[in-house]
Amino acid sequence: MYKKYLIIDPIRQQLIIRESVNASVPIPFKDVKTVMARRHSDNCILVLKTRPIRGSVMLQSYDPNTNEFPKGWICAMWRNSHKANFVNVVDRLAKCDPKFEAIQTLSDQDYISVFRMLGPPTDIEILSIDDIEGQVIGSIGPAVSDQAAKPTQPATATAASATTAESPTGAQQLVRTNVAENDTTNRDSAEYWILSPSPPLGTVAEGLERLSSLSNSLSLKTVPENEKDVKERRSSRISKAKTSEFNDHTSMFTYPFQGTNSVTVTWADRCRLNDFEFLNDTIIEFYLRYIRECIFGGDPQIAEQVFVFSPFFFNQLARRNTAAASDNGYQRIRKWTNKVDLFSKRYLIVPINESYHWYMAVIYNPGLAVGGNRSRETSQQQDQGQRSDAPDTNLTAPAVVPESNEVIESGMVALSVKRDSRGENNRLKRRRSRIVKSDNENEEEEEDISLVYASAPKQPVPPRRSSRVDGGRLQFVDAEKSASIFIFDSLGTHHPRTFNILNNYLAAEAKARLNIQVKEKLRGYYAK
Amino acid sequence: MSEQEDNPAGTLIPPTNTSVQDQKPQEPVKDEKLTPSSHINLRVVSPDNQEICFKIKRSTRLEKLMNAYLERTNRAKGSIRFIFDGQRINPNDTPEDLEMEENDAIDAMVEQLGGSSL
Repeated sequence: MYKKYLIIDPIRQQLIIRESVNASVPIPFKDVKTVMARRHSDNCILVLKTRPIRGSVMLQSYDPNTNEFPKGWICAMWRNSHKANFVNVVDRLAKCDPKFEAIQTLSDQDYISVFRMLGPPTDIEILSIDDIEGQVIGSIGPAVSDQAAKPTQPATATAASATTAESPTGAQQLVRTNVAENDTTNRDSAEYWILSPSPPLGTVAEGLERLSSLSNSLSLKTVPENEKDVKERRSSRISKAKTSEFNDHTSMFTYPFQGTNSVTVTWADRCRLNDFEFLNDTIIEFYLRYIRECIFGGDPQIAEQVFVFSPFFFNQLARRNTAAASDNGYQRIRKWTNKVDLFSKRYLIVPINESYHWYMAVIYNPGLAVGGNRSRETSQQQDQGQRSDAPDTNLTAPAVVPESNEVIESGMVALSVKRDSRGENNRLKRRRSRIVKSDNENEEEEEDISLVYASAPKQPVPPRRSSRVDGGRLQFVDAEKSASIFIFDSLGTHHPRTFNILNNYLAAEAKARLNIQVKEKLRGYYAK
Repeated sequence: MSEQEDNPAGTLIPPTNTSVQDQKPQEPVKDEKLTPSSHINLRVVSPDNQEICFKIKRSTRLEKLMNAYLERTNRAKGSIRFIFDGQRINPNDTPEDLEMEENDAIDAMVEQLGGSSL
């Protein structure tokens, strides 16, 4: 007997019908409004209420190559989504001829799609990755006698786990509604789950837990283990991890689960989240990519515009090679961006580790530095997209260019970049250290870089606009029209050398990839 | 093809399969049929530009290479990140998966630590 899984994946914003390790069918959340599942005598019936799409599209989403529906499944689409009628539909479907593998009725209205599995008895388990222990939320399968022996069977187990799912811990809420109350027999009792998706973005620890449990759920299939044992081992590992035993270098999970460019988070890395511990590069890289996927995962077009560098990128770039004076570091990381066009991105995220401190640089609209419309095009696409709040750096506070060195030394940071809606910086900042000595070795480089500092206290309060004083005149700083570099440092330390290095890098990259000479340096801002 | 060849420090390194600092003669990670197409030479470069070369089957999991490197350099497990073209190498990846080519360089980076939550 093999199993099918229906996995609710709020990170990628999709439902996955998973038949084997290699065969899974993703359905984006935006195409699914309601998920219900019902066990109906020997068959399992899933009901997905989709947005109005043509039937052919629905079928195509299952196997784009052959345009055929997988064998053993019936797909039917009705235009009515009322509950009473739903039961009716299920009953009708149960009676319909198994010869038909796809039944559809087309209209412009909402559809409900009904799937019925035929053939050999199978189990469908509904997994939610929000469920910390990775337990099965629902299970529907053939009503055969050997089910009684299994510990997690629908009637009781789902009732228990459904209540845990309703607890307000997870952002994903699975609400179980027992619609068919008059249906008293255990064998045919109908279980419905209604899914109300909302993308979660928790703390690092929550993200780790969530992904670990999902990865656990997926691997349960390949390694048939007693679920209880797995749970016990997990909880003992978590408690062990909380006591900072950095010895367990076995993999907790790999993120993303498939593909080559993924981050393997180990149990030792998990210890890094404990109080008074330092964060390591794995956690930083994992979480930045997780944030990216949580925020933009539902819309690949927007996600494409954000590129997250490896935490080792900046160190490789900036590392001074004593043996070679002419080595500018660019050669070391030239190949790292072979497959990406940086200048078509809107945001480049550069996590930086210096002197046991993490901070982050964001290069905004690098395409404008090469004079191109490259990022302009994409940004316009983005603005026309679903997100009305597309630019996530709102320049709210005034920025003033210093006219004397006194102002520089007074060192107030000028520009405030508001990212509340994203929250990523707040979270990262929270994790950062205070025990870092400021990097003063390159103070003399400051004059080479165009930096915008806050007004010193003695200066008049500038108007509440993005502006800078340039030779006594006020000018608007239009971040939309210029490429810029923002540095987010929880300590407020200044990093003139970082601006310089990143500027040189972009120039070298533009020269190497596009054969364009970058004339102007990108303006640098410190975010506060 | 590789950045180390363009690296002036790298030019000092003779183009052989022996390591610079570790003068042990090169031994393949796994003793298999050494046909040129099925095997590949990979260099692991540490931050101080020391190189160790490995010969590995294209379809072998890179975990073997990583463990061999850790053993050779006396590093603890989990202290080194292996980066190829900016991508982390996971134990289950193979040179084929990563489209590695002959004499490609893998960066061996030391774990970075920073910040603390208070």
